Amino acid sequence: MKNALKLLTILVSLACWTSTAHAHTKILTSKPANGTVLSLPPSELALEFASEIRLAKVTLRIDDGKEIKLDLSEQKTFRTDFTFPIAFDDIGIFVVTWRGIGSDGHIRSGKLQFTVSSE
Amino acid sequence: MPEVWVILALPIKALFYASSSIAIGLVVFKHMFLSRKHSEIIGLRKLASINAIIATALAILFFMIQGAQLTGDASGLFDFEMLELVAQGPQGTTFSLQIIGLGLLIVSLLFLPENPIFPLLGGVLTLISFLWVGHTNGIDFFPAKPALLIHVTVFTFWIGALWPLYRLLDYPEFITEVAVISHKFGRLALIMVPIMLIAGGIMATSLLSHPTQLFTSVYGITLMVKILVVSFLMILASLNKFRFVPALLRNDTGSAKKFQQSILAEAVSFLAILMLTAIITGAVSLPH
Repeated sequence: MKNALKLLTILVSLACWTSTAHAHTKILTSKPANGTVLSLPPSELALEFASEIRLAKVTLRIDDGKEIKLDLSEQKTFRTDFTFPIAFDDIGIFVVTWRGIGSDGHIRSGKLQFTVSSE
Repeated sequence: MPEVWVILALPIKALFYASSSIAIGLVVFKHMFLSRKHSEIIGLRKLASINAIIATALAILFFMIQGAQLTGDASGLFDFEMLELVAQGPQGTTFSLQIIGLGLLIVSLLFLPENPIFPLLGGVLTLISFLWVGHTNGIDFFPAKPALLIHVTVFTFWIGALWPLYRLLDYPEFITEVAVISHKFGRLALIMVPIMLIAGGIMATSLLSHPTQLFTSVYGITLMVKILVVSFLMILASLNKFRFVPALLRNDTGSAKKFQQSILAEAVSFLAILMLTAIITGAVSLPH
């Protein structure tokens, strides 16, 4: 029984040591920045996070229209910076929604919006 | 406002905490305090097995809900790519440990009911699974994790005592034995409960950067509510230890009913604490 308890103590200590992870993920900056008004549609969307995240879904919606899923096939790793090419000529309100899993295991989501205006 | 999948995950998480801690706690209590006769009369093995099976189902459901949280809709529940993504992170480690731990617990309860080692190992694996998730996972203060483990272990030990004591009090012929068991349990609790409270204090101080955050942040206010419920639990525990159990030891059988009511109130308090814990760990961010 004593040996079993010793073994359990070692197991528990190891668990405390190896389970260390990182702080919650939050978005740091984006390009275009949240709330920006642009005169021309951007050619790309860049997201920078405070800590590493693996994005699962990023969508773009223009003026409450159809949701377009951005391609994540080249960005399937934990990282802080993500860039997506955008090829739209539309003007209006662009809403970007992102979902992902932080390296701490927490599922995070958020949205940002920018406007492209001809005025 | 959190979205539906985050809200849905909260009662599932709370029920998982409840069923897994009841299953583990019952087994620990059985091996520490109960005779085979006591265990058989109250159907302890069956109850622990049912709770372990429910906990396993809830762990699977919680894991699938994280897939839905990633897609934002029900398709994520069965989206292999999303679930694989969850499995590759710390939640995957937690889930694996819980399934192995609870599996070991179920198998040993069904086939090796008198062996204390396998269910204990299953219980330990399930409890250490919490180290990979939650807010203490995001801080560098090393004592936070051992504190979390001590906190959940003592909690499990305590919750496991409720049903056996409550049920055995239904049998007048066992009241003296229940009094002796409760007295022994109370002596141990007198050491373990302060340790649990200190561990909780260590976690709180490592997660909050300033005491004022207890009153100025959603996280702090939720924690304060939890502390209030824990305080109520302490009052009940004191009543048991210093009033009802001594009365039972003096053969005052009339106090058995009051003791049962107190245990019932403890069980309700525990459920409230578990729901608050699910909210704190799943829906509220730490104050910055």
